[in-house]
Amino acid sequence: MDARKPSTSRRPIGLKAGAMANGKGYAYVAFGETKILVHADGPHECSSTAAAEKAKLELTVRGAKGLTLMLTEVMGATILLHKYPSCTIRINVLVLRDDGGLEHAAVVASSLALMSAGIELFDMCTAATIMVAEDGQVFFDPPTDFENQHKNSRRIFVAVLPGLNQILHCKASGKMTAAETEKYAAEASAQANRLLPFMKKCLEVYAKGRIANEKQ
Amino acid sequence: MDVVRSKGQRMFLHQAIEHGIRIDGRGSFDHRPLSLEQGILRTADGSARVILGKTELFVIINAEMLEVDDSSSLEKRLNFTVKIAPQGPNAARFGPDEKRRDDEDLERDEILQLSVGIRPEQENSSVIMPPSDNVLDKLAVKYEREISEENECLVSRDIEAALDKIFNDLSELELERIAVSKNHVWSIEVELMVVKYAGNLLEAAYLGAKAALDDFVCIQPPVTHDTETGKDLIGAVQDEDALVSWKFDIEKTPLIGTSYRVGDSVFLDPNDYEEVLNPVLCWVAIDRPTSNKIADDDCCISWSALTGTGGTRDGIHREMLTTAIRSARKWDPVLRDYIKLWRQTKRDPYATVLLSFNK
Repeated sequence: MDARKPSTSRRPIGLKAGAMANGKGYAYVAFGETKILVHADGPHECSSTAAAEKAKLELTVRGAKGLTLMLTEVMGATILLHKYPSCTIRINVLVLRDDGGLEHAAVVASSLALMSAGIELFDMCTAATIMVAEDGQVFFDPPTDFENQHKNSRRIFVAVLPGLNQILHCKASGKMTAAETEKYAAEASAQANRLLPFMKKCLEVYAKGRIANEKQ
Repeated sequence: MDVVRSKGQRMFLHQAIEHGIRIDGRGSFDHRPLSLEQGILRTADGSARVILGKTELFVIINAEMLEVDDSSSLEKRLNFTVKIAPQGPNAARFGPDEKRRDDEDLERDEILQLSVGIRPEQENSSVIMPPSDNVLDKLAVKYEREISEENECLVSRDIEAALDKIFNDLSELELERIAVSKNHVWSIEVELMVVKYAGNLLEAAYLGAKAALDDFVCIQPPVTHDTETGKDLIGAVQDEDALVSWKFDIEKTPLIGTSYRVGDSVFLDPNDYEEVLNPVLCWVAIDRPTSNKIADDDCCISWSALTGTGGTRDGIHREMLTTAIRSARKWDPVLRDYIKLWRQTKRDPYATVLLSFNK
């Protein structure tokens, strides 16, 4: 059983932008044993009529199901698609290992990959999943076995744009009223915002590395 | 009538919704007229037809007996499939937006290179060469296109996932009865065919699926046990009057409601014009309140999802949740009245009657 204290502690998190040798557009994220690699690429020329006014987003997910629609909507709202008319932006998500928290890990990794690829975004997109146990304790980023042990708990996933204070996606399961849903969504948003300094640090390290490489 | 998507018209619709004005004269929290028919297709085991405004869809349920090794180890679920005919302004949303160009298909000699390893200039040679870089690039493009085309009809997969969640995970339907014996299960396929898409597909699909499930009658055939093989066998039906049949109790499904948002304005049941604005959707599944006096805010939500491309502020999220709850509570008595009427009516399978309660 996971003996973490609720809400104040979390699984070890690893974030790396420029994860592959080529660097640009790659991001690797690990939340505990959940590991995801994302590659963002673009803009590329696209002759499709659907991309005439704004870029077309092509998102491919390998290794997991049920992420494509959520990621397409979240990234579609995050990227400044209108700045890339008649273009395609590709995001390839590879799930290396799933131990719970796949949705928020995929959002964070995609966001880092897009920023390292130099694609313009409205804001840095973060996400979080919280689990509210029957006794009211809140756990951030629960692994799969921990969730399975608390089957009657409530679970909320949010993807947010912290700077603009907007929720892009929210899923809540478990019995709760509208007021409780709002309260827990706010708690999940706060947890998502706590990832921001780590993401900024990750991008700083990547940028410094690229500058150093270009000087050589 | 085709829905025009010019920028000016979209701006007009957007501003109208923000002022609480809707293009068809409804209020922000009014539904379009609904008409619901059950048993429209006698060749199916259960069927329904829903017309919500101009959105029209058919729901067809078919059950097929499958032989399995051990029915107790199988997950008993209803299987949902949604098919949307690409039409008019929705063609770009629901179908592939590019036709395959002939020059992107592989030529005959390129296929030969891939399958046999023969290049045209070396047809008479016995040496097998790897395919050229051009051929490999073409193949890579072809595979990438195939992968992206799988993702293109996300709307129908979204509706399938939602209905699967509602009727399999959030309901208390007696799905265990699908297992007829140790070695036989019913495979129940619920197919939704969207004839015309004009907004608010999720609620229409939910109402149709619920009505079709109420129409669906399942048979419990006589079962015998073969002691030699150790397997259960389906026996012959000797007397039709002794045939045991059962139906799903649709009272054990949650109430579903959806609300939509454009800008900071929340509204219900968008029509085909308003759908063009790509509103953000919030849908909820609630337990049926025990009394009408319970406020929307106090209803118990068992599942909620805020989806769509766009950001929502905190206060608006709460408003979307309570508006979706209001929509769910409004649909419940309408659906119950329809089902009560269809249960009482002796149906002529060749007659089509359209009734509308919420005019």
